[in-house]
Amino acid sequence: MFLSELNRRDWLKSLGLGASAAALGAVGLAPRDAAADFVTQKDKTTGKLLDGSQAVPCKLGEGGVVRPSAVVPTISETDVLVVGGGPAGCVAAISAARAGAKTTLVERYGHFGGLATGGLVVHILGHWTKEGDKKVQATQGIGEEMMKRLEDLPQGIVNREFGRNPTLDAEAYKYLLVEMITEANIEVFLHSWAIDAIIDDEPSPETGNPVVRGVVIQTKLGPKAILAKQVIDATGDGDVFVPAGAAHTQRMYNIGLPYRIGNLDRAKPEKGGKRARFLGDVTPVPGVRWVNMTGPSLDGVDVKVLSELELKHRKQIWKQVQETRSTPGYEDVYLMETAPQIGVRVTRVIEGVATLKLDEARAGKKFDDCVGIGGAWHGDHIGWQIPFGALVPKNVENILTAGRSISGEPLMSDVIRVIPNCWVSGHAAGAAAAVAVQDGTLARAVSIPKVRALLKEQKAYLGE
Amino acid sequence: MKRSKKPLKSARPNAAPPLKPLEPLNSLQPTKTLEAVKPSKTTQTPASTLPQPFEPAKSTASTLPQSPSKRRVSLRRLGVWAFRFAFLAATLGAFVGGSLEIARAAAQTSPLVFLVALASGAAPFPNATTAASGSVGVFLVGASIFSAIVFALTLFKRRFYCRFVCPLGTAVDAAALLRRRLFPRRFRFLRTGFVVRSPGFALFFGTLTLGSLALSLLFGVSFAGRSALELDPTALLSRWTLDFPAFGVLSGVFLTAFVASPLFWRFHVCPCGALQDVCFFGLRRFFRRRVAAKIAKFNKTDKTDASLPPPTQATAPVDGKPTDATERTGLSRQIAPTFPAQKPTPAPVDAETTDATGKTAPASPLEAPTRRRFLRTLAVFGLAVATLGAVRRWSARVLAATPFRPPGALPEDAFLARCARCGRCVDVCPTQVLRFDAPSDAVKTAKIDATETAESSENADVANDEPTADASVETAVKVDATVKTSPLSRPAPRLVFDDGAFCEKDCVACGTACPTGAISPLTLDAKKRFKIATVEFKIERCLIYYQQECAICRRECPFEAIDFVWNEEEYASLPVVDGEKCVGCGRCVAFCPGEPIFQEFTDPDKFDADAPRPKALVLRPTD
Ligand SMILES: Cc1cc2nc3c(=O)[nH]c(=O)nc-3n(C[C@H](O)[C@H](O)[C@H](O)COP(=O)(O)OP(=O)(O)OC[C@H]3O[C@@H](n4cnc5c(N)ncnc54)[C@H](O)[C@@H]3O)c2cc1C
Ligand code: SF4
Ligand code: SF4
Ligand code: SF4
Repeated sequence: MFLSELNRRDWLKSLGLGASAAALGAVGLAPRDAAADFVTQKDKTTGKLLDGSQAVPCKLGEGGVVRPSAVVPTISETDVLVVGGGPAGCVAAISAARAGAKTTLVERYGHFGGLATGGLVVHILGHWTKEGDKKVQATQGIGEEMMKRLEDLPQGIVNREFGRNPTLDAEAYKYLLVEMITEANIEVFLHSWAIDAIIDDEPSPETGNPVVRGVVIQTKLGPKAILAKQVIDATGDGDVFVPAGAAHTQRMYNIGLPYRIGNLDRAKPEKGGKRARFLGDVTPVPGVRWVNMTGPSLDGVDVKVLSELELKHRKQIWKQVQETRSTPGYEDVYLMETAPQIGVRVTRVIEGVATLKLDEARAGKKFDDCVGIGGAWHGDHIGWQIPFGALVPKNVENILTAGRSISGEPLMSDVIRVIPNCWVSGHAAGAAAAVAVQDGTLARAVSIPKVRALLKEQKAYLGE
Repeated sequence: MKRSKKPLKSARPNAAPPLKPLEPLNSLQPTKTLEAVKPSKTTQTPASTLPQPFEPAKSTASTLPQSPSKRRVSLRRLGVWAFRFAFLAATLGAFVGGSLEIARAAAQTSPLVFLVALASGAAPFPNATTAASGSVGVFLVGASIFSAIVFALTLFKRRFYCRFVCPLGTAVDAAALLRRRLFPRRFRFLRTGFVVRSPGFALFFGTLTLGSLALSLLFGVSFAGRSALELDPTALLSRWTLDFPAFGVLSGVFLTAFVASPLFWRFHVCPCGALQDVCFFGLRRFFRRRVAAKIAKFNKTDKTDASLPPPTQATAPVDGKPTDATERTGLSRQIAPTFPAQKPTPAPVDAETTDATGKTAPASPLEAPTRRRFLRTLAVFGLAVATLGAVRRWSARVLAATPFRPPGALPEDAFLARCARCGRCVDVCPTQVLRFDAPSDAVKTAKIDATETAESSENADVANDEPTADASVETAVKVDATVKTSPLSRPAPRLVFDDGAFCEKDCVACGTACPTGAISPLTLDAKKRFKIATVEFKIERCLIYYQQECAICRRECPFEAIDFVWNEEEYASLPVVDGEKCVGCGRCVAFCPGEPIFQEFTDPDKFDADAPRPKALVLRPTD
């Protein structure tokens, strides 16, 4: 049974009632048993600072492990909270921050870029589209800005010619993201794993849906709360919208582990000899190539699966590199690096107000709430409109999603999930959240014309 | 050759002038000729020769003016010519741009098309069975009935189609007529008569035509019969504006008609003519055994005319005078030198003998041919058979490279027989996957990769010096080399999965547009189940095999026939095509990016990202 089949209450139960009570408490709508002073962050009765370090341990009882209730300290209050610092999350945060919203970015690892850096998925597929006989670059705005700025970095990006799919350097991109995120004055929480959503105890008066008020992150010092007016779940796996109770579907998909090999510039393939197979594709660094992996199709949020695959994949990678080295002419090739982040492609996908369908995308379906144009892998089909509705969960307020988890049919996922399209959906989510904060509306009710105006101001391409 | 020239020379001066005015109109007479001719033919043993050609013609010519109902006869002649020209005009007009229905009806009258269609299992009247209503439907049914009548008459009246209906026959006769009008004697010095008369030619072309015809009827249209069909007069006419080879053949036909004789085409080359003779004489032989005695008698009497060559002669026109007459009258010349010649050995030998001896030496089979003659004959025959074999092998190869027919197409043979190459389906195909032409340049073809050589080129690829982009280009070129069109014609339309072309899932345009039923008008449902081709997956060309990101084929398949299946051995999830679901629409092939180019090992200046790459998905014929 997947989490998708659990309702919100079950989910809360599964985490332990205490956590949810604490979460609610943290928002200031205190449950009676928690005695925290939310201004001083101290326990009302003991006067002790509630920094989480003295979190109450879980207890074994009644046939299971129970997490007792505890207060979660709030470490930040912000306008737009973006969870997940992958391609989608970073663009969302930058867009919102540039629009003037106070923006916070949470990332579980120590770097930005998600799969595009930590996952060593460095090939930028899909920012071209075919319009008639011409190729048009659908990915503009912040995504294009990133590619441009990578171009200015030494060995930042390669194959940037018209119509081609470039490849970026993971380290250059990590660096660039740091630069852009600090430039935009974004509050950053790294090494912070979002573990829960914070829900207002009053449902939205307009829609009757639960309203997300923030996120609980896991840190070395225990769980912390971050409160926000709008939340964007850019974790790719719906780590926030799932606990928030958003309707979603759970998918299995290929899970691989890319790696990089070096010294290819020293390779001297023998004339007429066998061609090495595991050579992957170029990177901007001479002699370095990245090697992808499809992997088996499994549940990418199941920790057992992920652990097993890490072990298996690492063995395989070693084998593959040895095979390459044993090919005459490739003896100097070596394994530079395996991806620190396992390559999970698609897991949980939101059930949005609108759902992208492959046939409609191919047919060029138009949406009134179009907030972006997605591209094709090889510029081989027309651009497809991304409706704002695909970022909005059906049944929860003030949380948007971006990146690979936006609402789409299974076959559409492959088009949605590529890096440039994640940039585009991230850009849309960031702009929409900023406008919603500005206007004080629910995310779902945001003024689309304003969002589009803001996107255009930020040079996004909306098909006109 | 030398020999044949001689008689010609002597013959011409005598015969030409007086007969001139009558000749064109002689078309009528053949019926009569026929009667006279047949018997003599029948008497012949299968191995030997045919009846006397010009004899009847001549007699007709001479008797005509004296006939009491002269006016009626010339009126009849006029009528026949009027009909022939009207038919020719309508056919040409329709082929060149007018009504498709008329064009189709005209083509269908050809006994060759008719019979081959029957033999290949197609319903005899495609026009009538095609869904058409209203006046068009009535016209088509009428046209079918007409073609049936023509065919029936062809069985009983020798060369009926040839003489009265065939638009090319009319055109060729007109050319000959025009020549005689314009230059009554002008070309005598050219001495082209041998072209028509030479038994060598007759043997060669006869073996070729009849052989390919026989092959087509025995083994289906796929082999040499295909070339016979492409030489069908209506097929040639229908294509002459579209297709250079057909234009070339037609030019040749007219040229020989003009400088030599319309008979060359009629009796040596035209497969339709050969077929008519086969049908006619076959039937005769079958039904007329009982009149054998009568015929023998007839022959005897006939021989009394000393000026005429003996009935036993194979190539009647060898004789001087008659030849000339024959040549001019064209139509009335029912004598088919070809037919006898086609009989493997004896006939030509006979002919040679005759030829050698000229007018004076009536050859009898008993008179043994010299060894040299025999060998020469054998050589010509061998040459013809070898040519036939080559054509057969060649056309089989062409077919192997062009296996994909539009959804709803009849089985290959029936399709080829019925298809008029009218091009209507090609015009309506929205994705332009349906085409006449073979892919012209290598770049396009890399994506098609439909032929066997692909296999060998692959090996070549592995053994290639360096894993460069150029290697893949080379593969593409090799593949291209095997895809060729017939040199004689525009081929029947086929699907060329090229340039990202594929058969659209929700389209039945071609079947709906096809006027002949060569492509059945399918319902959308049926179309979605119609298997055009089978998809084969070539693992060593798939991006995933080389550890690059791809899932395009699965996404693009409109029938959800492709899934990715984990392959522990290759340590990859690779595409697997479900043969049940896949209809071979080619969409996945169109979108498959194909074998990766190893950029790092390619000279950056030479690196061409858009270079053609062999596809990992390849379409193969379904069987
Ligand atoms: C093996 C593989 C090969 C691929 N090949 C290509 C390719 O060639 N070209 C291409 O364009 N695309 C490719 N993709 C797809 C593409 O890389 C990803 O879909 C894209 O990076 C997704 O971006 P995202 O921002 O939506 O999610 P992600 O890149 O997954 O980013 C999510 C971020 O959120 C963080 N995060 C996750 N959960 C939490 C949490 N609970 N708390 C805090 N932070 C969290 C992650 O650490 C990560 O930084 C490939 C994907 C894989 C797996
Ligand atoms: S069904 Fe349509 S797309 Fe397919 S070959 Fe016929 S006309 Fe072309
Ligand atoms: S597998 Fe390819 S050829 Fe077969 S139905 Fe699907 S797209 Fe068409
Ligand atoms: S589209 Fe071609 S390269 Fe891509 S997965 Fe399918 S077969 Fe492989």
